[in-house]
Amino acid sequence: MNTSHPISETLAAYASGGLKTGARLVLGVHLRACAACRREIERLDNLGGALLADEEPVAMEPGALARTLAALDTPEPPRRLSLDVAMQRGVWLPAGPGVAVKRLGRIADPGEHLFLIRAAGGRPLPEHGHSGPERLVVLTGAFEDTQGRYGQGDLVERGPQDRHQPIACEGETCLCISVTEGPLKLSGIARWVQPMLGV
Amino acid sequence: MDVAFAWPIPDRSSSPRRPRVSAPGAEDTERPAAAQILAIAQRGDRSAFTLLFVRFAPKVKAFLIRRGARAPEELTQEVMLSVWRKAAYFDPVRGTGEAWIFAIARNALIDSIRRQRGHPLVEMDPAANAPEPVRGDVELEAAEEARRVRAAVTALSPEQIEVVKLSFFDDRPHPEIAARLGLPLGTVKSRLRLAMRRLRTLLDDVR
Repeated sequence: MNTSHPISETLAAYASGGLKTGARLVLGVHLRACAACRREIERLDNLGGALLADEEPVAMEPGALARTLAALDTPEPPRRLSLDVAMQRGVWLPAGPGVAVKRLGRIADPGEHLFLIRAAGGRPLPEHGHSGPERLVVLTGAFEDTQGRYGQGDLVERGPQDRHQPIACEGETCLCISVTEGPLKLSGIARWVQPMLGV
Repeated sequence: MDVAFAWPIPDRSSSPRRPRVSAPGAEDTERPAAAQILAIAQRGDRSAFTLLFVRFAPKVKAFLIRRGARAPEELTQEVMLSVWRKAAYFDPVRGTGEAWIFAIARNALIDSIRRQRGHPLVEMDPAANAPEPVRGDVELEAAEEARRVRAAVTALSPEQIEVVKLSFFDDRPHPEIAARLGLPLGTVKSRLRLAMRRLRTLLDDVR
């Protein structure tokens, strides 16, 4: 089985709206790169649409249509916070030679830890134990772990106990986004910056 | 082993336990949502929007109530407003109009939870912001796809539709579904997995 794609349960949770925001964003990075998983989401949305079309209607309040029609030409709501913007903010903290992490706080949901991880070629990505699943997606570069090699857009899902020892591939810097839930336990040098990360 | 997966599909149309999923063709008198969304996108057609509102707002509201939204009436109006504003992003090649409205309602639900907690709203669906040029004949294709998706859902057994609805549409956790249906957790999981696999096969035939 190819491990560089989300499992079907994760895709279903994305389409149903059950995923937390950080996990959603990490999956979004993968979806931008992966036509097969996008197609899967389209299928699931089609399912949602069919179920929606079958909903037993609940009457809207009187005047709802008139109010909505009157609002059609009002200006659009302000722009939302995007992952791209959030990544420009915040401070990189060193997490070992050639390795740095940056917490993306406000964009994730409570209980989630969303991190940018940057590792120079040949350097290990910070390892950490976590009580929930971890999802890691590659933005640029590539890393290798015990399971294989992961390049741009590839997504890895790991259980709480999995230690995967990811190492940035030689020759280029690897930039990843990681999201976990529950208390984090960083190991090695990354442990030193844990208090600064507020986790 | 779930015997409902025997092929060919047993005819269950006479079963009184069948959940309310109408057979394809039952709403042939209604144009598919895609046609109206395209009319909004192409010429800001307010009467198309009105038709869409009358038909879908009460269904969106039902969905939002199902998911425990705090202010379903207001949120539904917001969803319909988004339908108007985002119509140009609707791509009938990517899915049905109903699916597109479903996705907007789902995203509105996510927004409302963020807002309740005082968190900034987040730009979400990456694909939604990259409209592709609309081809000719898409209306016909969209209508056909909507019909076939409905047919695929209708082809599931009542037991399968039940777990798919509870898990995917209602977003209920597996243990809760097991408790509600009085089934072992393993049965819920395997039934759901098989149902989703079956749907996948059926929806693949759509293209």
